[in-house]
Amino acid sequence: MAKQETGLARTARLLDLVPYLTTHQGVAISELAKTFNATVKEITDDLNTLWMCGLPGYTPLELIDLEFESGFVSIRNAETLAAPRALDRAEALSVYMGLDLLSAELSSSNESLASEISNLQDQLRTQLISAPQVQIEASLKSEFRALILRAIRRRGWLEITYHSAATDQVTKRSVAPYELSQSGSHEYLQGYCDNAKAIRNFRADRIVTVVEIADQVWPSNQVTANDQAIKYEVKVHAATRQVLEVLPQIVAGATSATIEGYSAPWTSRAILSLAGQVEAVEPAEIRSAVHARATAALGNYH
Amino acid sequence: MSRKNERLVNLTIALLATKRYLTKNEIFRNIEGYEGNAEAKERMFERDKDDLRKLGIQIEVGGLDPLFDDEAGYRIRPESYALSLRDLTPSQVTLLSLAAQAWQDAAFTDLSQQALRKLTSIGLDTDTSQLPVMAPKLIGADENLRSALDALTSLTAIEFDYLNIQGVAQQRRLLVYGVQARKSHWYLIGLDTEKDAIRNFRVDRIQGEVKPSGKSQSYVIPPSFEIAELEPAIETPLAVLQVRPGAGYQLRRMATTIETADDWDLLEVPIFDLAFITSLVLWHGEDVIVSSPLQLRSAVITGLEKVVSTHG
Repeated sequence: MAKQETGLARTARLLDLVPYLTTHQGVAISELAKTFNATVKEITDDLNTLWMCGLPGYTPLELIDLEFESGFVSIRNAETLAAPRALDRAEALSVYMGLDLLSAELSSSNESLASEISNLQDQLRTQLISAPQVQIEASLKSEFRALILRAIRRRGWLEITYHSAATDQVTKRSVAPYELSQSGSHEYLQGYCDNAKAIRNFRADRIVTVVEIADQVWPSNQVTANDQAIKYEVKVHAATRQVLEVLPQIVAGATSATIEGYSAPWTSRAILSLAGQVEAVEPAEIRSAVHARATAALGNYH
Repeated sequence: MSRKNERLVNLTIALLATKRYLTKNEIFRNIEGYEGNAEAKERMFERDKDDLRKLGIQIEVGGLDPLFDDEAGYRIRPESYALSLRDLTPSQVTLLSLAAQAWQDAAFTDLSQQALRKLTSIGLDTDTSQLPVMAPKLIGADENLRSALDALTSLTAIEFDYLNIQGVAQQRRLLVYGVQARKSHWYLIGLDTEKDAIRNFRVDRIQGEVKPSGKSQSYVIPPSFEIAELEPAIETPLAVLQVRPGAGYQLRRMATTIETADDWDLLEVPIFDLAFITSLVLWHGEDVIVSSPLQLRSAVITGLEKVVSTHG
């Protein structure tokens, strides 16, 4: 709302108000303002403008007939503009991509819904001049998302099966979910993990299954947030793209860096996977852990 | 400003209501708001047409009769103006609304809200609770993705600086053909005009802003173009890996075959990207041994030797 409104955006809103009012007779101006993401004053100005519009001639017979003095709006004599406008290409693309994700999140049992979605996509495709290719992979199945959101609302517990990349283990955990949020390119479930007795972040795409657990007491508010981060000193031998992406605290061109991590196993695996481009210096335990793992792995080949 | 908006709405109404083409003179005579001398009216009308086109409204020009010295005429066809998706069932409208909501808080919010309003204006009751699906959420859609999608809908080439594999930013120019969200990353796929070849670009590797380069409608997406399937193609080479039982969860999910045994399980994993598989194998340390191909095996051994020598 704070952003500057262009004249054209206003014209678009004027045109789109008519079909909306036609199917929502008696709607409150305040409600309209919310729906159209505008202020009450802007909407009132719009109604005053529309009231002056109509077919050539511009006598009461041709003008759009609006009543809104009571704060509730009704419209008559606006048949010419009564149909909702076509989606423009960008709008059609945004809906098209949303459908793609919706379909990716469906479980395979939902065949009829999947075919309904692809039917709608076919219709939308005709609005896009030359059909762009869109392919979207889901990070979280729709049914899991539904369970998680419901548990957050009801303050209910979940049992999740989770794959940890740091330990390479799949474990079952009882979690009191707080929120689903995104950070960088990933979606995370944050919650109190009863197994760790601490707040944990679970990457959504590593959640294998989600089941509701009945009647467990919600954790008290005294739970403290994350564990203490550990600082690692590293030498950077090659600041390649892979290095910058695996350890984002390293800046381009750096020859050394201090990185923060929450898990020693994760950090040592990350450094191992970088094949010598990054060298762990401090603490000594992490340096020797990396060395020991690499030596053991190398031993497999002799 | 208000008078101009009024004139644009009146022009739209008149051009929509007419069954035949309206000439400029008819428009100037009958539609309110065209004032001043002939030249001023002319300029006003040219700008108005441009503005309506920017709103996605198609103005048809016609009525030129070669036998008579006719003026061009204008009209808007109701079928091009109105939402074509109209014989929709409530459950279809619900699906479309859910799809529009996927962009909440993301780069497309304003667009999808506008789409949502148009869909709501159809006037069908929608009930999300009737469908066994949730509004999905598109993750990590940023301003650069938005710019790329704008370019894709207007068919405008784009330019950006892209972090190459050595970690150095390089300028690239791309005709966007499609987008893909894979493994939690957005990719732009299209023709790299310098390399004259199809290339993928990961959106979060773009440094700075995506900028348009050149005019809109400047290319077409070849009808034969298709994003490569995510499923392994027959030609994708396979890596044969020995994996400790209970370890290598991610590798097991990627594997096409798994043979279990007591000490080592045998996995076949498609190699889409050698560098990626190499670092994934390294990630698993002593729990994974590469049997073949030789190229992967030596890449892993070299990597391990470097780790040992740097940490020795």
